[in-house]
Amino acid sequence: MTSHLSRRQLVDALERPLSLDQQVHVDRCAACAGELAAMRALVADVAAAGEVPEPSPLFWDRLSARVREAVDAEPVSASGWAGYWRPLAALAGVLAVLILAAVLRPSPTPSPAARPAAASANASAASDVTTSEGSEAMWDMIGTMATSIGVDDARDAGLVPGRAATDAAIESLTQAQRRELVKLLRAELGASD
Amino acid sequence: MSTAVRSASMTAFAAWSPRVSEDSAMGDRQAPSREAVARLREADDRALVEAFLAGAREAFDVIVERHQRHVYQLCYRFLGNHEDASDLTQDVFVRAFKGLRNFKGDAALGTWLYRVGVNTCLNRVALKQPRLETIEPEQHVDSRHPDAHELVARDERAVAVRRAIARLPPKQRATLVLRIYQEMSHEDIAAVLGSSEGAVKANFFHALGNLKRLLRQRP
Ligand SMILES: [Zn+2]
Repeated sequence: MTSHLSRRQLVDALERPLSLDQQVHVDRCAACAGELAAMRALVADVAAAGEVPEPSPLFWDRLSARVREAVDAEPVSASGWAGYWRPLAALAGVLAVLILAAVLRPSPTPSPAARPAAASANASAASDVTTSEGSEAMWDMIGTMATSIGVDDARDAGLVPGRAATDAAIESLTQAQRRELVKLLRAELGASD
Repeated sequence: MSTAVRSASMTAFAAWSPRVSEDSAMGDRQAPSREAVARLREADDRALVEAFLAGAREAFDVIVERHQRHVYQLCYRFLGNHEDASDLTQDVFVRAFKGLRNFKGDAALGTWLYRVGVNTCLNRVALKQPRLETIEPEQHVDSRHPDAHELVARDERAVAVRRAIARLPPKQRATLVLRIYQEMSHEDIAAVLGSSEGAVKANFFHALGNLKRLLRQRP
C-alpha cells in the first residue's frame, strides 16, 4: 500500500487492527502514524472526560415528579393513552345513533294554518335561524353529555357497544377536544352548519 | 395497532392494575393501589408499554423511574451541564409519553428512548448553545492527596474536553457522544441520525479534527 490512509480507514483503525498492508504503510509513513496516534489520544481524552457527576440522591425523585407533572399537563390525546378515547368513541357512536333516530325522524310539516298569523315574508328565514340556533344548543348539549356521562353509566344503561365496535370506532378518533367530538357527531349524522 | 394486539394490551392492563378502571382514565388520576404499582415495578419494559397503552398511566411513571438515569446521562454528555441535562431529560420523557403509541416494539424500549433522547438533544442544541460548565476543577480535588497535582490536571483536561465537545456542530457532537460514550456502532448511529454509515464516519473524523483545533485554541 503506497497511498496514505483515507479518513474512513483512519476511523476504522480506531476500533479494529489495521490490515497487513495498511500496517506496513503506517510503519513507514510518519504522517499517517502521527495522525493515527493523535486520534487515538483524543478518543482516550474524550472517554476520560465522559464521567457524569452523580446528582444528589434526591434528584431522581424530583426528576420523576417533574416529569409526572409535565406529562399530566399534556393533552391526553397526544399520548398513547388509547383507553381514554375508547369509551368516549363508543359513546359518540351510540349518541349518534340515538340522535339520528330522535332528531331526524320525519316530522310532520307544520301546516300554514299552524303558523302564527303575524308571520312575515321573512318567516322562513327566521325559522332557519331558529333551527340553526336550536341545533347549536343541541350540539352543545351532546358535547356536554359526551364529556360528563360516565362509561359505567353508559354500560349500565346498555349503551356501550361490544369491544369490536369500540375498536372500530377508536381507529377514527384521535382528537381530544370536545369540539372535535361534536364535529365527529355532526359528520356522522351528516349535519351541516 | 391491531385489535388482537390491543386486546392483549387490555388483558395486560387488567392484570396490572385492577383498581384503575377505564372511567378513571376519563377524569382525574386515581391513586393506584400500592400493590398495583409494585406489580408494575416488577414487569418488564414490554409489559409496561402494553399496560400504558391499555390505559395504566402509572406504567409510564415506572418507565421514567427505570430509564431516567440513562436518559439523563445521555443529555448530560450532549450538553455538559446538570441544569440543561435535567430540563432536557424532562423533555425527552414528555416526547416519549406522546410518542409511545408509535413505539413498534421492534427495538428495546431503552434503545427507542435513546433515539427520542438523541433527537431531542439535537433539536435543543440546534436552537441554543448549552451553558458551559463553570465548576472549577480544583473543587473536586483534595489538595492533600499525594497525586493532587496530577488529579487537578486531569480534571482540567476533562473540563476543557467537555467544553470543546459542547462547541462542536450538533451532528458531530452526536456522533462523538454516541460512539465513545454510548458505544454504539457506526451503523446504529447512522440509523439514529438518519444518515449513512459513511457520513457517520466522516462526521466522527471531522469531530476529532475540530476537537483538536478547539483544544489547541484554549488559553
Ligand atoms: Zn501515510
